[in-house]
Amino acid sequence: MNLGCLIFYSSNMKCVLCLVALFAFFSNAVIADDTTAKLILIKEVLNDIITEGNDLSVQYSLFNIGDGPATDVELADSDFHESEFELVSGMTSVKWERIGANSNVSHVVVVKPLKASAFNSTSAVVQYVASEGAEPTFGFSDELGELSIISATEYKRLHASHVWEWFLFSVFCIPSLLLPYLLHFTSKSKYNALSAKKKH
Amino acid sequence: MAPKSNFSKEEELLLQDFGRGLSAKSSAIFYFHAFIVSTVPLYLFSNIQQMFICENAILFGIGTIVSMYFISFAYKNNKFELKHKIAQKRGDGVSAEIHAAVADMDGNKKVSKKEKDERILWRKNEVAEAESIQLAVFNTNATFLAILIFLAFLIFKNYAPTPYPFRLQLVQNIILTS
Repeated sequence: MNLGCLIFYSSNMKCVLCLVALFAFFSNAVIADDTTAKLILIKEVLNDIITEGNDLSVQYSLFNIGDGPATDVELADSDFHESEFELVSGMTSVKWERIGANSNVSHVVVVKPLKASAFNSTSAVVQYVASEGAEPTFGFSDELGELSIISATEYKRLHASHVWEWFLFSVFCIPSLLLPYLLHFTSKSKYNALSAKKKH
Repeated sequence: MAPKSNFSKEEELLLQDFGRGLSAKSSAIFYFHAFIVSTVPLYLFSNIQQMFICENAILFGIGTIVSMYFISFAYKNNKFELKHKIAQKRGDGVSAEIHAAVADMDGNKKVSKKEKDERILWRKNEVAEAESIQLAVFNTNATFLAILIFLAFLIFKNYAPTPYPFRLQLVQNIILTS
């Protein structure tokens, strides 16, 4: 009888343990619904050469690598002051209502540098709500460091094709090169012909 | 006191024809061409190197004057060397021209051999003078511009702060020694 009771109690324990294990598994599943977003902000300059008076394109890419959606996303970049840059297109402060998990968004701002100088680019800031009811989370982009903005004069000197200038220069050289040579050649031809005629 | 050696009229004429001296007309041609070839590269410096003429007026002015002097000096040297070579080559052609001209003249008027030879010599000198001037201008200009463009826009393209005088001086020294 004692043995029977032992067997009964051990099988009951096994059932209880199975029930506890199942409960733990599903409770984890319930906890997994409470997910958080994690945003990565990448800031990059699309231009190879930054020139005064020419458009400068800056791209901001937001990647949500978290499990949940990011809501109330606000991106702000205070690098481009009105005194030094003219805003051509895009906005330096942008809002997205929701960025889903494992998705990304991008935004391009085009500005025009007004001065030729070294420009220190700092990080852009992103604020978002990582999960429902949570406090806003802040994130920062990569720093681009010191960017060199060259003057329009320097850009023309280094990178313009100058085809028209070389063509005009060759035209200006005609009186100095072509005319003297033609005069000499004409005289030479004339006396060579006379000399050949005399020999015959 | 040593007696002065005065050249005869004929000797002076020979010196004038075969010496290094230039006539007023030749000098004017040389300075005109030297001015043109010295100022034409300024267009390249202002439009390609972005050395604006207003900002670099003094530098360009001095460079142009110095360049004109050295280029005309190079013209003179080059012309002297070319004249003798050209005179030798044009001998046959010039004598053919003079003989044809004499033959076209009035048959009664006979021209002596001495006069013919003098005419040939004079004409040969004239033709050699003209051709040597033109060829000297062409050779010197072509050399100057080629070396200037090579140095200014290839070798010393990014030389700062004022590449203009350095390159010009180098080119002029090269031409002068050539």
